[in-house]
Amino acid sequence: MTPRLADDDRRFLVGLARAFGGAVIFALPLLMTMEMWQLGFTVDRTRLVIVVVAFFPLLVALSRLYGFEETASLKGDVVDACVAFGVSVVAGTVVLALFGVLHGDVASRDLAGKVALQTLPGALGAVLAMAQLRGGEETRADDGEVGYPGHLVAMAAGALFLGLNVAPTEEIVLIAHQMSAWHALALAAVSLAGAHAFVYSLEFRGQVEMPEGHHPFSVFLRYSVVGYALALAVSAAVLWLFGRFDDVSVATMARQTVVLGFPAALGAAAARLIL
Amino acid sequence: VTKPKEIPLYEWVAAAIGAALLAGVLAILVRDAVDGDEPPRIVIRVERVARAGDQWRVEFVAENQGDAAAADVVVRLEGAGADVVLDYVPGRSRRRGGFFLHEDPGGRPPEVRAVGYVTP
Repeated sequence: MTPRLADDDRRFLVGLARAFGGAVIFALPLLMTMEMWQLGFTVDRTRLVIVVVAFFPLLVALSRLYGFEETASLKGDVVDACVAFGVSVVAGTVVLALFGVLHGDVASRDLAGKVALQTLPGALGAVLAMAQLRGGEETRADDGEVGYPGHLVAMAAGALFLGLNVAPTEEIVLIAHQMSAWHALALAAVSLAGAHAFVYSLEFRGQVEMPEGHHPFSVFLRYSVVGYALALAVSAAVLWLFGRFDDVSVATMARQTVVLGFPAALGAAAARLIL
Repeated sequence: VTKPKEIPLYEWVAAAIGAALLAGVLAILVRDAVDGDEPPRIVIRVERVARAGDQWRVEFVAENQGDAAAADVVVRLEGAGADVVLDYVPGRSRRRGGFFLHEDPGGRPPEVRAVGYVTP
């Protein structure tokens, strides 16, 4: 074995180990949420497949944007996304088994559902952790080359991560029912203003400067409004996946979406700062 | 003064789609806010009575025809002393449930009613 190969092997193994770490950290809040285990058998299989398939391009895009330039080929990003999925499945299965959630009495169909649900946040964590290791120098994101699509991808990922963490809880339904429509409208306004402030005025590390020469309202419209709309879309998709939209009125759907859209919008804003 | 960079068209397209989506959600909420807020009115309809192994299954649909959501809705199968609790029935929405009977209800359709709820 040449030294160079050994180096590559080592690098691969470290990357894999990191991916496991990222997957566990990102998935742990959901792995330890009881509602998620129950959703394993109640979740609609067709929807689960649709969401996982729709989720895949997001993973590839994340790997593409936040990976490192050297190895930046689309094929490499697709491979990374696949590895992230695999790592997430294994990590989720092991942790659920350690918790005694998976045992002999759990039907295989139920087991598959439980694990598949957990792969979404886990794969996000894995792909970000792997992206960190590739290359070693600046990421495309650091070069400021990410551009508008990159911001949208980051916002979608942030919204999905934070939204997914609270979505399965009973509280989303409860909050949506105990608030009036006026509360929901106020919450929507607060979410939008909060997300905008998060990125542009709270002086967090990584704060985004208002681009020079652009009208502030144009920036608000192209970034914050679009980001909030993305957060709402992601929230609606997750609620639909979890069956919260079954047999309920459109008004109830809108309320639940706005409730989940609050953390999702802040997650989207935070992701723009962090990623 | 540096000349502002031209904003690509697709950014405006994204902004328009985002704004339209947001406007749609807000419109639904506003309509919901100005519409009536009738308290819960739960109507139960028995959908089907079918053999289930050595029992009979009575399937029902609970529809909340009011605007406000009802929590812990108690649904009773009259004569059998059996209750089922639905955790939430949102306004203008439906939930499904069922009872198991040990005897054939015969030709007489079972009487299922909602007997109470709490506000969430």
